[in-house]
Amino acid sequence: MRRRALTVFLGLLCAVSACRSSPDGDAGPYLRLADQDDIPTLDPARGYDTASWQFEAMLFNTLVDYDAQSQLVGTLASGWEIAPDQLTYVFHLRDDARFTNGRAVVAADVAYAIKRVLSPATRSPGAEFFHGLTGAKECDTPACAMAGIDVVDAHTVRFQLAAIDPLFLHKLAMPFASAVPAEEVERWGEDFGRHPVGSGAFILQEWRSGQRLLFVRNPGYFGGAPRLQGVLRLVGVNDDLAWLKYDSGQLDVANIPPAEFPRVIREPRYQPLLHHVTTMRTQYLGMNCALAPFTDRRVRQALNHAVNKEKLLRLINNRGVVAQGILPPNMPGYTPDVGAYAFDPAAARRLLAQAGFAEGFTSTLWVRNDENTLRLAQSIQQDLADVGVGVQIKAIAWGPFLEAVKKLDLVPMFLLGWEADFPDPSNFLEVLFHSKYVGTNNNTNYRNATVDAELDQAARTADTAARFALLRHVEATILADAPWVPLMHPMSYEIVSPRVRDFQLHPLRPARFDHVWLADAGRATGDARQQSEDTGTSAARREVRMEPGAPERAP
Amino acid sequence: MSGDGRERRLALLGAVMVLALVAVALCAPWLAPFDPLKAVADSFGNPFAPQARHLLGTDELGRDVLSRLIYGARISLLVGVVATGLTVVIGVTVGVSAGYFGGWVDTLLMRVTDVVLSFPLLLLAIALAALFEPGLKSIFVVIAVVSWTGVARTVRGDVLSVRGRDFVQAVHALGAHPLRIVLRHVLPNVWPTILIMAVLSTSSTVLLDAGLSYLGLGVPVPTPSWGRMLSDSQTYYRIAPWLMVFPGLAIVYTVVAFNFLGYGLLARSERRGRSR
Amino acid sequence: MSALLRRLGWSVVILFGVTLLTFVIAFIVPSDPARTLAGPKADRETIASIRHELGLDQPVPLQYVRYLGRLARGDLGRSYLTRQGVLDAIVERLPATAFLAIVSLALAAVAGVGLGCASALRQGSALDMTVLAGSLVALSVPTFWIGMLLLYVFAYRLGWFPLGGIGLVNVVLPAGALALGNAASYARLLHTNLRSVLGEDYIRTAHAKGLSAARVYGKHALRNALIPLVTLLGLDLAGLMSGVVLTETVFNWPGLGRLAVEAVFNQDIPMIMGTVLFSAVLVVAANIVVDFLYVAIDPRIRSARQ
Repeated sequence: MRRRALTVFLGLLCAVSACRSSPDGDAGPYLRLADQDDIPTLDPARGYDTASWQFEAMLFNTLVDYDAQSQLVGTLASGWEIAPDQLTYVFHLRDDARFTNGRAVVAADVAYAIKRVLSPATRSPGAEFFHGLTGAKECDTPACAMAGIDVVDAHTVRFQLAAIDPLFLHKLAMPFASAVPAEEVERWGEDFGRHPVGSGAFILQEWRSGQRLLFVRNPGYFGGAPRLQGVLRLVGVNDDLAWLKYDSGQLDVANIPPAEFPRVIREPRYQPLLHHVTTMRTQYLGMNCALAPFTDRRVRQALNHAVNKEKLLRLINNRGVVAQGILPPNMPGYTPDVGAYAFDPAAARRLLAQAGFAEGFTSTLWVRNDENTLRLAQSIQQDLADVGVGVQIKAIAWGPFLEAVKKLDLVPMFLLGWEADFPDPSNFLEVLFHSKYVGTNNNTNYRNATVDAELDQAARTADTAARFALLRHVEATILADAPWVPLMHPMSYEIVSPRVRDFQLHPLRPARFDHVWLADAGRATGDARQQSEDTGTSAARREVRMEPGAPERAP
Repeated sequence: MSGDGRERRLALLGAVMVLALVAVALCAPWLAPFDPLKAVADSFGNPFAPQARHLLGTDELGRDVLSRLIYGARISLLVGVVATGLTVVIGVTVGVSAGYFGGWVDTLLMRVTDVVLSFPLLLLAIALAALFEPGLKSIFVVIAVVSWTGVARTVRGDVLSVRGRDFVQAVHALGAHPLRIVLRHVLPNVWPTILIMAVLSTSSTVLLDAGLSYLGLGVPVPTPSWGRMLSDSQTYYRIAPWLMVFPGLAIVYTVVAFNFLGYGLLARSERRGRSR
Repeated sequence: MSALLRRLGWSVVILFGVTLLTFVIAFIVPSDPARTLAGPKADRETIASIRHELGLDQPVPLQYVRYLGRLARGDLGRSYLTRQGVLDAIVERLPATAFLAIVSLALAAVAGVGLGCASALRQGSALDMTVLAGSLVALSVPTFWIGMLLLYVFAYRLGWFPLGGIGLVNVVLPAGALALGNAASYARLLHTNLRSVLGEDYIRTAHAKGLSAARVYGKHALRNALIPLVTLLGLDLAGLMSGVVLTETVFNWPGLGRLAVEAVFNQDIPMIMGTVLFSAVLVVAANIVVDFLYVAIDPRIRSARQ
């Protein structure tokens, strides 16, 4: 009797699975994305990761922002003046910006946002960027009175700096400086991150934690309502699953998992759908210049010769470029041939012998406990073993890893990356190599008085060409001292479905959707072939055939 | 009696399997065709399928899977033995103290056991392993901390029944020191239970270690560990599905071996107990 | 009744012990919550002010008392990562895990009871041997590995099941992976209990009284053999709330287990403490419920009390 029940149950199961509904129905009017993790927060004062920034940019606006060429243009600001002494900035706001709760955006909102970031109670990771404003350190609440921010009238705000800062405009482009409505922040308190109200192109309509977020267009957006009806962002979908969904027409934008990558970039039908950009990020092997044997420059240079960077790239399926220097190639002020080291194990061994380590030595490589990082670490470990350097790998969680690295006497070698906050070489060279930042982000304990002096001078130089010349010299000096082995600059790849138009990747910021549109918007069909034939544009697009339903099989 | 023979055969099979595993682990340097830590094939980012030179293929860092599997046995056994040893030490101490001394000692220890048992132990193991410094020593301690309760309860039960027996009462009445009584009279009667619990603990220890390694919390890389080999295989499951199969089979084999041995012994002792 | 009241009293004590242990764990962890909250690019002043905001510079016993106070108000704190209320996050994810746990237990109970009975009724047969040896093997299989294999074979290669989502169809594979071990232990339990029950006097009496085989087995034997299983089910349900951790990770199931694991890897102390505490409270509650149930359905205990 029990067995019969079991049989019936199994039969039902098969029946249900056989007639499962078509995956997510038709394609729908929304741009569909997916990722593994939920978005930590949508509060612009708190978010400091890629996911948060991507969607905060959809919901909020800053005074200025980057265009496709990483140049600063006004968003909320219709114009601005910088005083000759470079210490006073006056911004004029446009008068047609409105928050989605109905009221107009005024200068006081910008002031409130930055003061909120500065207040200790907000615990904003962006506070340090605005410490250059006069009176910033004394600001303890969003309602504080500080000399550095002055609301002249409803559409004019004046900033006063304590010292020249060529990067101040870039700091105002960071999402931390997004205008927020004080009444909504006070209404939601700590939950503002889950109930954001901004002036941006989209509105958050729904957030089911761990499952999905739905953003819909803001018809009253001052920059013109987006052509997209909305954006649907799924959560808890890992890269492999996202790829399969994309291939069966259920997603519009996806990353390409490592296992698929070699095939995808070779297949012709994916070519027109691929987007890539070299990020402004450098992955590096850092050496603690205060711990033996890395106190000797020759040892550090030897390691630079010992690491096989091409092999590392193969481990990540060539989704990156080998790092010759410290700065990424699309950083303004980048110069090639600034002092790269060739892969030369013989030269490495020679240098080690000169430094007295003909027998090699042992050390520990600290890394973040992350699968991809560990693969790179093991490859480097093999390379170093080949020149006599025995390295033990110590993998710990992200938080304790950062703690350990910033202690100055603990970590001899580590793997880390640095991503530019703004498109300026000083964002790498000063933050990571000036001796005053030892303990903050100068994790290699690098101290060079000449470099410090040149960096200080560059910080006071407003003329861009002169600054870049100074910084080029700084980079060359640092590379000769070799506190780093620069490894690679990762490339960011995304693939879109055939119906997506005007999608663009940005080297500095996550992709935006203000100008993206869907070729079949309004039509309720899920047939990808139909969609691609209707574009009527390039012949390459017409060749794309994608069958929704059965997932792609590996060869 | 056929029932007894069946249990004996099971225990025997388990013992043979365990011995084979120990032999493989001990003879690893001679059995493994390659160095498990070195890249011996040019398969970076593109694992090779099983072939003549590499019977189980290679992984994405060019290392031979068979060799890593064989050396992985060393780690599994090491963790199994040491962590179980620690578990048994803690569990026996608690169980004997509770069972022998009774009264408030018993109540206190059993309540502590209840508190620990209320916790989501797998989650606790993950949290502790992740939050403390990674490494072999942490794994031993973490596994022992979440696994001792079963041993404690079982041993306590056994001690209770032994304590009630006449000769123990007699020796106690004669004024012998409790420690002496425990060591000379209680433990010798309880050790079969302890042995069986140790064997069964080993199988759950190996499973727990596999789970922790899968999450990246086991032995540090690049030492081969079956659980970590499984998690590494997930990135390449589309082009190298075999990477998923072999480490899992190794884990199943090990745990089955200890389970056969343990349950076989357990059934035998129960049968003996009932017929007495 | 007094025994039950005493049990309740001890449960309260155990709950206190649980909060203390949770607090201690969060405390001895060698990571700095202020640093984690501040992020990688913060300077020392920001970190110090955050530490003060969180009250981390106060004496430890005082922090524990404040912690208990917050618990009493139902405030489990806020996630370091998302600033979302911990209790809110748990309640949001709970249904998914509960769904998975219930379906999995149902599958395990049906399979386990079926196989256990079949093997007990046919002792010594090939089926019996297979079930017993097979159950030991099933207990030896890592859940996450079975999950990986099921996912690969049935969802990816054969396409019978979808690769994500949380519907009725999607729950089959993860519930199946989870059910394997439980089914094995239920089968063994049923087998043992049924065998011993079948040898009892009152079964022979029922046979002698001329009752049909169905009534003997169904009404008497099975019912008595099932009693321990019922209590086990209750405890397993509570235990599954934490046991699903690895399965949810493999299948990307958006439940409590994944929430907890993500919290661990993000060093999100309030979330870790919240999920651990929640699971522990669930287990303690389940124990109490099971105790009540046991008294209610076991006729021997009931009649002994009368």
